[in-house]
Amino acid sequence: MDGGDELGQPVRVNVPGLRSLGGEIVGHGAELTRNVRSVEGQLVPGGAASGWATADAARRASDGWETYLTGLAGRIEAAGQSLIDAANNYQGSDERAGQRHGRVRAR
Amino acid sequence: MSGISFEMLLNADPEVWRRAAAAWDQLGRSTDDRADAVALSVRKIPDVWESGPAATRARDHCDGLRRELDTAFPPVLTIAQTLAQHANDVSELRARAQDLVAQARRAHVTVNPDGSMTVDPAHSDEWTARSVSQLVWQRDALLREAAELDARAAQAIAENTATASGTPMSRVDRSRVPAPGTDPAAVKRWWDSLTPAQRRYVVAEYPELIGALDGVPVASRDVANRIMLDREQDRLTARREELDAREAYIRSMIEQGRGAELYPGEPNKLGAALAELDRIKEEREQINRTLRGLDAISSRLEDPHKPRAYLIGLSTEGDGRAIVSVGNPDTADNVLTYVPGTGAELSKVGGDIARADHMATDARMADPSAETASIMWLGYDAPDSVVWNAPFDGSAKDGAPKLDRFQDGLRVTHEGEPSRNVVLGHSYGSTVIGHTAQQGNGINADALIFVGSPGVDTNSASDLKGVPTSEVWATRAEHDIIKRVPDWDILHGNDPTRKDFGGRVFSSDPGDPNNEAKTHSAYWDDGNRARRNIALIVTGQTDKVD
Repeated sequence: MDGGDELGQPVRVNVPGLRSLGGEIVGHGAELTRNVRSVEGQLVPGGAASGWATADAARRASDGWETYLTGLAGRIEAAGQSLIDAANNYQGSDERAGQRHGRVRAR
Repeated sequence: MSGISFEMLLNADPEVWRRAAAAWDQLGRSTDDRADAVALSVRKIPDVWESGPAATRARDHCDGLRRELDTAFPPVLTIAQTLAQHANDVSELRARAQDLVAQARRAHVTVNPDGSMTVDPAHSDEWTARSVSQLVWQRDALLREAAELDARAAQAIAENTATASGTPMSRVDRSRVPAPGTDPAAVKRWWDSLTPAQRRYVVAEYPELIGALDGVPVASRDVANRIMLDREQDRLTARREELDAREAYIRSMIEQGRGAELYPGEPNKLGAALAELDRIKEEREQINRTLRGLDAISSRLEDPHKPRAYLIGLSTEGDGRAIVSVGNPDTADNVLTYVPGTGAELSKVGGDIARADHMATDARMADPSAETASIMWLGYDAPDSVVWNAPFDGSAKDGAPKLDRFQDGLRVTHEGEPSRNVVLGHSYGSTVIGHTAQQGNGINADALIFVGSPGVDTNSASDLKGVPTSEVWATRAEHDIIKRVPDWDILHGNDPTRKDFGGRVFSSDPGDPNNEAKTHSAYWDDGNRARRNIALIVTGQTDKVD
């Protein structure tokens, strides 16, 4: 699809391709979440490690990294979703423009 | 004062730390894989959304997320390294605590779980009192050391813990990174001047520089080189796919009788297309060889059933270079550097790493109380051919300054008491060591070992500087083909196992009289007595060598 944006620059977009790529990026976010979950509870040495400052540090590190990476995974999913939304918006505005055109002609 | 009790040392279980380290390794690898996958997707955005400010903003945003993922790898891997090292430390502390209990028992003293001691009333005499005083001193020293190690590990993990915005990095200009070849002591001073955030930055942004820099601590070089390993595997795999696609295209054009269209300007159009197919084949074979070596390194680094390995150097230029250590030399009591000989190259690195593994295992058996790191140092361009290159000293001369600097680097980054550093050369690797020890101030090592040596380009052990002749060791199997190399400066000087060389000779199995070439590579075979002798030299038990 070719068009122009608000600044007058040309816009070229492959709507199905953009939607598919957005889905791919959403998948990366979801996979990252799975990666983090797959090690949940294993990052902190248990049992005989109790009392060591290193174990406490590992616990804090585990909390910090799980929170951060899960958040990052969410942002990646959102970025992918925004590509899908952009593709849908392009398609929607094209369809709406086409419909408006049809109505004007019918009058 | 630390909260570590004597009971905690006795009950310490290194496996729980190792398992946690493996989980952090897994998290690091999977995060890095995700970063690669996101990078591929980001590269595709312009294909489907070619232009416009929104497209640019979307690409920049996704690329920023990719960078965040990328920068997660170094701190996560550093936590894995720290926990793996802590497992080793805990194991050693526990062994010493158990030893203390055994010592006390012999002295008729009971060490209670809280570390207090009770003297057997039947042996309450002056000798026992002196023993108690000595045991108390040892116990306190052990607890102090445990507290220090624990605090250091905890701090390293805290420095690499993610906040809500990840782990901070602080920019360092590329020009501030010391040039290759800089004195390792100067490199170490520079490294020490950086903040943790700056170190993370240089490792993540300039891994190709940091990974190769002698004087940077091994753990950080390992992180940098793992980044390079991943990049090189991706780059070469992508290039191989390009070649496959191009080859398929050329072949299809030729099958359709349109081969001449590929090179319209060439006088021999079809010949030019066929020549390109030959070039593709050659390049693909080279890529396959290199990838075989890189995959062997990856497999070893990721093997959870073996001691942790560190990637201290990596290059895919030419025949390739790799330096892989079994165990961390910066914290080990003994450090062995193994220099392989003729024919060694990246594509065959798996076999040389296996030898380093064998020697680490042997050293641990020879002295379970000490930590030994065993390094496979392919940091030079080894001769390709026994006939055409090995008779000359070009590779040795070229490799000597690199080995010299590497050994200096091991010294400056080592923590605590100096380690016993031993350099072992097999075949032409011993010639490289010979050159290194004859230049400048000699080699920075406590002992040298020559195995199946063609000669070390001197006829006297006393020419090898930096190491006393009593610590210059050599062995040659009775049926090793290397004995066919003539003495007296025709090639590489005298056989270092000759009496007049002035070093010390140790035994190895005689080998196969019907296969002298095989015997040359049999020193690391199971049961070969050379292995036990090497382990004894590496662990400093030289009086037991036979």
